[in-house]
Amino acid sequence: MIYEQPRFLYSGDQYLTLEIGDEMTLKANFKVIGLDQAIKEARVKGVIETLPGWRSMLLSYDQLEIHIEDLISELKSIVERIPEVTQIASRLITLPVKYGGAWGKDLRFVAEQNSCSEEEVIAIHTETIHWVGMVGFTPGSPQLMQLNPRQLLTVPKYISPRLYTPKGTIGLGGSLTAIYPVPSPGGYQMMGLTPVPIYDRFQSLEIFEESPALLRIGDRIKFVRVHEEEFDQIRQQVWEGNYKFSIKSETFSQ
Amino acid sequence: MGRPTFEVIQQGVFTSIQDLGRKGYFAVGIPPSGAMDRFALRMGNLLLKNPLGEAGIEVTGLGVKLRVLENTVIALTGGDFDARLNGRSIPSWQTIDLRKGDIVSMGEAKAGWRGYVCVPGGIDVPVVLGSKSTYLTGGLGGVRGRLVRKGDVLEVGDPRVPLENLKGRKAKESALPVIEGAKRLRVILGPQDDHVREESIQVFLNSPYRASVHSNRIGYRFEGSQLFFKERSGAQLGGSNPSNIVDDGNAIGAIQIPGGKEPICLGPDGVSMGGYVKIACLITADMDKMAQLRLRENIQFQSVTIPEARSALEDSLQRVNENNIEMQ
Repeated sequence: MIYEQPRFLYSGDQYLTLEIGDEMTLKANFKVIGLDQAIKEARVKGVIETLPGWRSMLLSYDQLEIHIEDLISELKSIVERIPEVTQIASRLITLPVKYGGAWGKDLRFVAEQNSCSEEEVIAIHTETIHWVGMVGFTPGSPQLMQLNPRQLLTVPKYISPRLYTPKGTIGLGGSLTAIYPVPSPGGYQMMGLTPVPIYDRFQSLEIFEESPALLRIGDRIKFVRVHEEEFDQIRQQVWEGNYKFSIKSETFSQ
Repeated sequence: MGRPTFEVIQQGVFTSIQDLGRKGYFAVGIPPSGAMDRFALRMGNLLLKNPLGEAGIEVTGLGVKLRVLENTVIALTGGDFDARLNGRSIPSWQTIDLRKGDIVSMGEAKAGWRGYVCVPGGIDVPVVLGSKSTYLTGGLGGVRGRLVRKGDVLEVGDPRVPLENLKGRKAKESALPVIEGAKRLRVILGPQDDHVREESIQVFLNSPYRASVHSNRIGYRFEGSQLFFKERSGAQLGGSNPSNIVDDGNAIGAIQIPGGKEPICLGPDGVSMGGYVKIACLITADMDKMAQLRLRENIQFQSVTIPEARSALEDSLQRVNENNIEMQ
């Protein structure tokens, strides 16, 4: 559900949650992105940074600069005057993936759960465009929604999270795909591995100059299947610093 | 460039370089980080006439042992780590002159849990995304994105004032926090307290909790009474357990209650998002208190208002004031 009016929820004394609904949909996500842009453009006094998500936004503010009531009324007036967001700037980023194998060992389970073959899972996952609805938990990690898949891939998460997931793992949990930017514990089913970084703490590749995280909310991702040899070639290019990301700047409408 | 000033002889258990943290990257999952006890870092910097946000060494539970490579001054703040200079006991919260060849050693925490070693000019490590603070998960800041290790040589920036001007500076007793005694961690209810049954909110606020050994800069886990959720109507959004919600952003200090058990209060390196009900959030001023909790120490949560939280922060910031420095 998307609420008639956004809810303003206290998140301690230096954060405020602005909740526009409780659903994980493109519609809710568009509203949050529109709101985030409007708040940034309005340069509201005391706002330090925003964290837009699926259906809500977390704002951090300097409580010594603005009182919470004033902040809320300022935000309410922004909410009232922004038009419905129907299209947004959205980058289409292509990422190579080696499906299956040692670091995609749950591919068979994903296939069983969706009553299809592993090849079909790969076909659906690479054909579908994936929407970045939120970034975080670990640095630069996206949560991806399948946009109009011919069959929605769905799978339960691990009951007890594994202790180690390698960097670059493509995982599926529920109907969301995640990419693991750094080695970490995890609960999504492991489908494969991408040889390209989505987080670069050294900011050594040109694409990471502005931020060590490649992805941001509102991006779209297309996965392209690669096999062993191509995977190794791409990894080599990344190491040598001459891998070129395929990124198209486009607009996207709901 | 910084001057090599300390060689790390013993590294402690979780020693990192911290300033007051970074901002602007939470939207991609990079938390602010920074000193967990900010009063202690600020006061250490004030004693040394540094900008209050200069970087120091944060130790946890067990301190470091340092060989001094060049004459300098330090101020030790935060918990009591039974610090010694060449074997002789030295006090915290005041400046200590060091000579080349000296050995500064800290032991186990006797009171509190986090200590700071501050130095004029600050620890000189590269500024990464606007801060020198170490963020281990992301491999950012500090000494090449990692903890301080035995064998590291730590460099120090240029002092703002001649070292002799720092002699004998001491923080007044009255300005210091009381580290001993039962602690109350003040919280503001929300953002999802409305998912929790009223009786359970009372239990949360009125029963003792114990800091678990599974606590660190990412989060503090507390053991205590089971909390219960209201019945949910309609679709089970975000997951089948009533402690699940559709993922949203986490405040630093947010207290999640997965399964209604063991509240987890996020620290300065906390995860930016999650799908668990957050019953309340710790107030900014009391992150300092949480930083000094000893493992298995009992606490109680206390609900306060936003104006009360602001007064507490203002009080903490105002205590770091030249009027609270005396000469020995």
